Amino acid sequence: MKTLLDSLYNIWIIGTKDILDALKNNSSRVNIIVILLMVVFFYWLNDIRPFDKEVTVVVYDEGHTALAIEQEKLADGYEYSFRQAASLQDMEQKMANQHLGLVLPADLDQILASGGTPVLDGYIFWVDRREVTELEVKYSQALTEIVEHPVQVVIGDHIIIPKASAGGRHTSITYLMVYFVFSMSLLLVPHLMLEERQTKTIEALFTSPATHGQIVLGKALAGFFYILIIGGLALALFSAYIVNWFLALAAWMGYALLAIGIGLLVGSFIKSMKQLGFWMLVLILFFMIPPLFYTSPNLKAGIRVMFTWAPTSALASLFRFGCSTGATAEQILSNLAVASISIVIVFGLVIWILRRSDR
Amino acid sequence: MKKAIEVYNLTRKYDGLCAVDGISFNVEPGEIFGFLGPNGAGKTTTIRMLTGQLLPTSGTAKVAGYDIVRERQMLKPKIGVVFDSQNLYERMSARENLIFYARLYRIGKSRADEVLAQVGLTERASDRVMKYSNGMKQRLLIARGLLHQPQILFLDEPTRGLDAHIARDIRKLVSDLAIAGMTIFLTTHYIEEADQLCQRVAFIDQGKIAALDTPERLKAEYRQDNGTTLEDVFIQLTGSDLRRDSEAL
Repeated sequence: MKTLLDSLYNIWIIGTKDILDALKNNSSRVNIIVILLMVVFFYWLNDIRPFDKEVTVVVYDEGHTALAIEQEKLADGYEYSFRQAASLQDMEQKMANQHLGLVLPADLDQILASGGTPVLDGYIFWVDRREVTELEVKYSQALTEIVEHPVQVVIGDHIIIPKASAGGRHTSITYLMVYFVFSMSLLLVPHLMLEERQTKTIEALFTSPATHGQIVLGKALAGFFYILIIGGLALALFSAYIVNWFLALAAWMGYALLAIGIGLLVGSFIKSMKQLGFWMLVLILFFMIPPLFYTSPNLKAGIRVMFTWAPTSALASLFRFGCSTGATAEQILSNLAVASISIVIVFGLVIWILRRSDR
Repeated sequence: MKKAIEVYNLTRKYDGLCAVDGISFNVEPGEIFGFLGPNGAGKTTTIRMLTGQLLPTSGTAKVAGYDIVRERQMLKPKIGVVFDSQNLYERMSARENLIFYARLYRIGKSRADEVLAQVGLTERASDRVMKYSNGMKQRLLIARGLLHQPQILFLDEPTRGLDAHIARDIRKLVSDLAIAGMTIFLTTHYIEEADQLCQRVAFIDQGKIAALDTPERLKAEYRQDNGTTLEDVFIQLTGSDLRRDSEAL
């Protein structure tokens, strides 16, 4: 127990030293700020709420009412586009990346004729439950303006979660999460090891009571701190899309560990900053391309299999399962296994390379 | 009495090339032992093996009573190393550098201030190391080596490239440490420095020990005239290749 606590303490000491040292480094600070801004930018770009003054509404008219809604209509300063759906299921499918689904009740004509206020069931993708009331008011006012009659849109619990197999915004968010974590890691983590080797401070560490494993894990801790800043913010901003936090957090942790391990691995064997640029390109191709395309139906079968078994694709699948429903236990476990084995291999390689420094 | 360092038939090969070739020697506790040789003779390789950074190809050695291969972790707190490169965290202050190592060695932060005072860096302790001169960095390296009060201090070229007065300060410090009972294993290019400081010196050439004795005995043994210096002995014993090369030219 004492040995374990001693080890953890050494890991903590090395980790905190690297965190404080990197925060004194201008290029590290710039990298952190640039990626933070990228996270915010992509969040704004993927915001479920309307932007650019456009709202798309998919309408399922249960009773084929006489109410005519034009294809495009201005209301409340927004341009509303309407698409028709043949059924509730069709509406949900067509909603993949749209803002609002609307069910017109079968007795709408009678309600309108009697001068009553019809209640329309609204459907919306993901969206934070805390924002539902605000959206109900917004859409009720807009539709009242469009149909020139008071209507009330009630969303309630009609928050649609896509199926794991379906495409849509959750796929792009999954990729963004890989992108943020890997960018952060590849920009900062290799330096943790490369700089120690270039300045030969690693030799002083080797003669200190810290073991090779503790040195690697201390640096992993520092890498985790940077990723926590970026990935934590991304996770918080995109939290509305997450329906299974266990899977999402497991995938996020997997991204972080894999990215840190790869960063340390690169930093352990490259000799200069020039080489770092080359290896970053190789790693981006190897780790970031597969999760972007592995779900594409246009890929050749062989390439799709290869891409699917890439560790980043496995983690992307896990995150996607965390933002959707219907993933099977087999799908979850196989992806979890690929990701876990990859992480263990990468960290094992880093420790192996460091240990070989005494050969 | 137990030896501070016991080396037996220590060998290190790199891709077939023998950097250290079956060397054997002992270092007594409290002794300043000079390990001298031309560039590439095997000095740093020997230090790296004795400090647990490099595994020997064959042979054995014990440092502070611990085997350098099997008991490396136990050996670490017993030794201090002043490297031939100024391997410090440049963005951190001198005090932060020392506190980092103090925490790894589980010693109090106040010890960092003690060693900073010992090497005369108290006033600049909060400055970033990147602002330090070479001499100040060298003193900080020595402070780091002394931080955990090791039994044996390995000094790899501690005065290389330093001004004469800073080099003299460092020699004085090394001498004081030995008087206080610390064993010093010193490599240096400056033979005069070794002559002044060391009780015994070993000359290493092409990975082998060419001679090992007190400076006085070596000078007597290899005497050429009344003014024979340790440097003359060093050149006589380790400069054969240089002489052969220059004759060939």
